[in-house]
Amino acid sequence: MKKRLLSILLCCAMAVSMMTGCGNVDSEELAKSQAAASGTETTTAATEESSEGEKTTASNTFTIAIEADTGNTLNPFTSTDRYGLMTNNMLFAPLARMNTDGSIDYVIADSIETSEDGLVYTVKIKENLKWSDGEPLTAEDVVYSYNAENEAMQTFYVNGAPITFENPDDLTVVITLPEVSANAMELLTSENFVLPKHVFESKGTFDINLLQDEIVCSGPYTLKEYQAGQHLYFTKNPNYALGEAKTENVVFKIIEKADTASLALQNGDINAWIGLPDTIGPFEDNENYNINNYSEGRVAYIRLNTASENMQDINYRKGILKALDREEIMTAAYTDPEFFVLGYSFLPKGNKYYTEDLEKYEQNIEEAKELTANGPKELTITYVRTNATEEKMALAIQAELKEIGINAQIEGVEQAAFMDVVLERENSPYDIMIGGYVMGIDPYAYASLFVSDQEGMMNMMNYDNATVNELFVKGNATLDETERQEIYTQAQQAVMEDAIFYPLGTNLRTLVTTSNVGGIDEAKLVPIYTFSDLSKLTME
Amino acid sequence: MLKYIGKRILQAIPLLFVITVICFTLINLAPYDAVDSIITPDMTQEEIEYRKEEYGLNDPVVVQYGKWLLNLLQGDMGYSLVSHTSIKYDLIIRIPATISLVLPSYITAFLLAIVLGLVAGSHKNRWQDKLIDGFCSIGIATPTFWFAMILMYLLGYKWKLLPLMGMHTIGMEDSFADFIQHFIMPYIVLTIGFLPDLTRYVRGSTIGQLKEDYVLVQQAFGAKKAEILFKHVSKNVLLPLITKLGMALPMLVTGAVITETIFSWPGIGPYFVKAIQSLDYPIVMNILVLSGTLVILGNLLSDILYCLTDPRIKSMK
Repeated sequence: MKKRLLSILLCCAMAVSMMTGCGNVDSEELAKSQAAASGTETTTAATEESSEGEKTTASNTFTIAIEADTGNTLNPFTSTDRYGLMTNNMLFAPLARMNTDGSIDYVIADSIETSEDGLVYTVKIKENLKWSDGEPLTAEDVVYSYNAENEAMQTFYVNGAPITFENPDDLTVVITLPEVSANAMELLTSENFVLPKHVFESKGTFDINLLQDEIVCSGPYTLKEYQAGQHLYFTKNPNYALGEAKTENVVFKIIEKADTASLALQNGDINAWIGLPDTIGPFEDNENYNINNYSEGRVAYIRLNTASENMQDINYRKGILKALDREEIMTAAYTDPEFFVLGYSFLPKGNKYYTEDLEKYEQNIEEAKELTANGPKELTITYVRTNATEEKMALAIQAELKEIGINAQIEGVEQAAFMDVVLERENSPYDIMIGGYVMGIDPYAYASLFVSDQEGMMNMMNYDNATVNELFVKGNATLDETERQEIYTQAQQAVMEDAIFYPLGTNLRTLVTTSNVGGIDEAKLVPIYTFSDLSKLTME
Repeated sequence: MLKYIGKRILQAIPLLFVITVICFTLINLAPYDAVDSIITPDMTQEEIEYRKEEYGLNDPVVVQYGKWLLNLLQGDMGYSLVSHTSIKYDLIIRIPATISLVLPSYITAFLLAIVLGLVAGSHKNRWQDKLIDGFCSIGIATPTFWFAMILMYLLGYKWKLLPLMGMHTIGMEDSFADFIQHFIMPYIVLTIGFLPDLTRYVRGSTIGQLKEDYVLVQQAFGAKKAEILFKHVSKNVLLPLITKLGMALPMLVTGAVITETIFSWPGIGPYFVKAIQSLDYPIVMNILVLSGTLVILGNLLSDILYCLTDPRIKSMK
């Protein structure tokens, strides 16, 4: 009898241990209620069904699918992932946003003026700005944010010397450069947000807990609720510098599987989704959806790895490049020319300084055979394993190399391993790498790919070319447009001559939206953030 | 008996410690740093170094391990290296989400399997058996993701009976009805996923038991078939299932990776997989320790239960 009792108790224990996690539901509820502490009534992004798969989402909420969770902590300085940065861009406003053509849209700043010698930037702040909690937003916040970021990350440096920030009065920020830097404007505006001094100074950390902290915002939206693994729910900030957002709420819905996201869009559960060319079939020629292809300024490239034994001979490298056909590789990856633009330089096509007056290594099988005749016949190609388009590129390259009698092995690796491979300087087992980058607008932003003699430059392509080093520095030290044009044309030519780096072109990112989403041109499609300013988006 | 239980628990503690050491060593043997997975081409070398320093990746491995273990013992699970988010908060939300999905599915599958297995086993090679066994074959051969997509397409998209994905509709987190609507599809997928294996187990066990002498004796006494099956055979069939149940305990954490990913269920599966891919070792370690603990706990419980329910084992002691 005693034993039977014990056995019952143990059974209970087992059941309880299985339920332990369930017990935590309380904490979950707690976290939720804390996150929703603002106490406002939650408006439901209620979705209603209608016939023929057509869908009406509540007109005041815009829902976009994101592929990965941002995590419960946001750090406006150290965020590097796309969705963390997108969240930053929702919550915090920058001084200004630079467009891909180099023009400026002011946000917190009313104007930014440059002194004649190019060393002093005077920023006038818009009057009567407020944080989402009603506190005034002043030049003091700006200086605080920039100094804090510089302290933590050394973001604002020119050739090893810091840029300084001062606020002579509440509406003026004076930025002083240690020496002329042509890309200073981009450096000062891109991915740099103004943070509330009155919050962070006493907090001691720039980590924001999305579950618990009440976030004081300057951006177009404030965070209403974060649900781990599910969504980020934003509601408009009435104090945004460019005026209240046109759409009441925005939801970033976390959907990891592309198939699921595609169905969700067809079902009308979401309004926008970034699709790959081979997955957007259901939305093409469909009046309920709009397809927007836009450039992120991403350059897809092939790099011949000079850290490998096989790639030491420049003529052999030239031979390899002459075996390749850009168009074929890009078509293999992106299915149709409407999804890519071929490019011949390290700058994305469309950049002000882009030139095609350089060595293009156009395909020439005979010449390629000749040049590679005495070189290795077995090569290895690597790329990030999870990137399906790069895998297709690798297959195309493999087939093209076969034409000139070279056998190429394809080996995909994980992201972490890939960066390790990229930065490997000796005895690399990989001969050819496939990659892509989004760097910025000013050509100097591309210096870190090729410059080998400066501290802090990653030199991702493993260059060792004095001319290239010199040209990048020269180009940044002058403000004269024609001179810069000339210098960067030479730099683009010089980079190609080493036969290490082979640009393929710029792929376009495809945003599919439901037809009731308006104002996309005003909200501007941009690299990383997808939308430059979501406050301009309308829902009909 | 209490002494035995106490002994087993004490044995489990060093085992847990060994698990943490093995996990940590293996992860550190990987030739990359977590920081490698967040480097972007526009980062400067300083930025990378800053991050490495901040994450403590420049410390010796032993120090890293010590720090981590010490924090864990104090209940501090630390921060993700890649996204710098608090692991504790993530787990507090994600583990219950996974359990709320896996537990009902497993229990349903378990109960169904007992009935189906007994029926199939007692009708060996008859139509009932062929039907159930055929279903199991199909079930085992069907990839979860495919079945999930089909279900999602039909119930969620085509007929619009259920919401496509997620755990709640925004703003309806407290509504149980809303939860159930989101729950049904992944629940069906998981139940169907667990069922074939368990059913086959029960079936095999039943067939084995039916050959035993005591069945013959009961038949000789003129007992009815149903009576033999449910009164005598079922008891013996259920015994090995205790082991199955104990072993299923870690599934509460890692039992639904694919299903969770497809249905955007905010569980532990996708979180764990992503952490492994980016070598986010604090997350990987915490989840490994957690599921390791559950393995040990599951074993412990099934051992003890076995010992209590089976008089033969008791007498062997």
